[in-house]
Amino acid sequence: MSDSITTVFIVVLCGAGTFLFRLLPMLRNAERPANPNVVRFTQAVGPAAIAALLAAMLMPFFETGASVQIHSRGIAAVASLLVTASMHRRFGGIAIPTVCGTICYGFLTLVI
Amino acid sequence: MNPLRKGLLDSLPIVIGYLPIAFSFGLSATQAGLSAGLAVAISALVFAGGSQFVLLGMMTAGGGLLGIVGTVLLMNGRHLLYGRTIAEHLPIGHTTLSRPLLAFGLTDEVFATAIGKIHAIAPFSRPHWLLGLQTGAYLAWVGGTVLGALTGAEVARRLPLVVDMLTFVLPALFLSLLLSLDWRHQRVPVLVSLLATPAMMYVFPASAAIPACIVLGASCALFGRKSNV
Repeated sequence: MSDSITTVFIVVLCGAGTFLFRLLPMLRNAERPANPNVVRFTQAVGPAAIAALLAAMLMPFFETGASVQIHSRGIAAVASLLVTASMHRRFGGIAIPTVCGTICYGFLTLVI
Repeated sequence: MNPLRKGLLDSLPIVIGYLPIAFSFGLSATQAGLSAGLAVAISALVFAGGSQFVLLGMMTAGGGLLGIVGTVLLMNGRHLLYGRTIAEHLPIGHTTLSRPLLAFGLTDEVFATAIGKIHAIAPFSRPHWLLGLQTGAYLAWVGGTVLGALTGAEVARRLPLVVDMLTFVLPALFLSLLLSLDWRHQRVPVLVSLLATPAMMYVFPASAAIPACIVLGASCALFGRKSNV
């Protein structure tokens, strides 16, 4: 695949569209909304978004199939999530739990 | 501490998560036939992880302009929900940093980290803090793409275990972010989103299922007791 003009144009359009999606709602919030329902909704968007993205990212680790290898990825993922949670409980923050959970997954995919 | 520097420091977990994913993207893009320059340009201009892989896949498969752009923008539609939420935490009428500058780097991970930490930042320091957070994330994303595009093939050949391990970085990062939010105050929205997303993704494409489940989960907050994040 070469870097044709069309390809570059596609990339520019995708970038511009994504940028506008992020910008326009920020511009509309010229003053703080008085509606408490809007406030409650927007307060819940963050946790809901993280939860939805977490679930979406975990799905490839639990694909159905007869292969033992496929199931072992799911087992490794569950164990690594537990390690991530326990490291967060112990140390707090984000970096240490993330690194520990990732290393755990790598180790378990070797042994399972 | 200077808020810009604090934001850069707070971006470290995102940097750890982004580097391997961006590396994978750079590697995939060059293996698909794109030049290293175009691979880096995609990361620099689009700056949205999952949809970049979809963009790459559709270009490789010979997709047309409308199909590719439409699909990528559908996938990134959830970003419409982020800007307003972040804007509510910024001081009204701040003029030191323009909103376009603060909107550009509002990725999933930046948004999630910002929501978890912005309350601890003094209101008039928040724009600079947010800029620092986005700058760290952006440099990691573009830098990781550069590394992947230039060296990825050799690393994958020599260290296949590392490449496999790094597939778990983002799930671990997102779980850590969720736990850092003290999610119990938004228990119902979180559980609804967590359970609805896999179910919806079996029926609908991710580009529709994910934003729908975010709206569904957040809407549940309207029916519960008032709670704070």
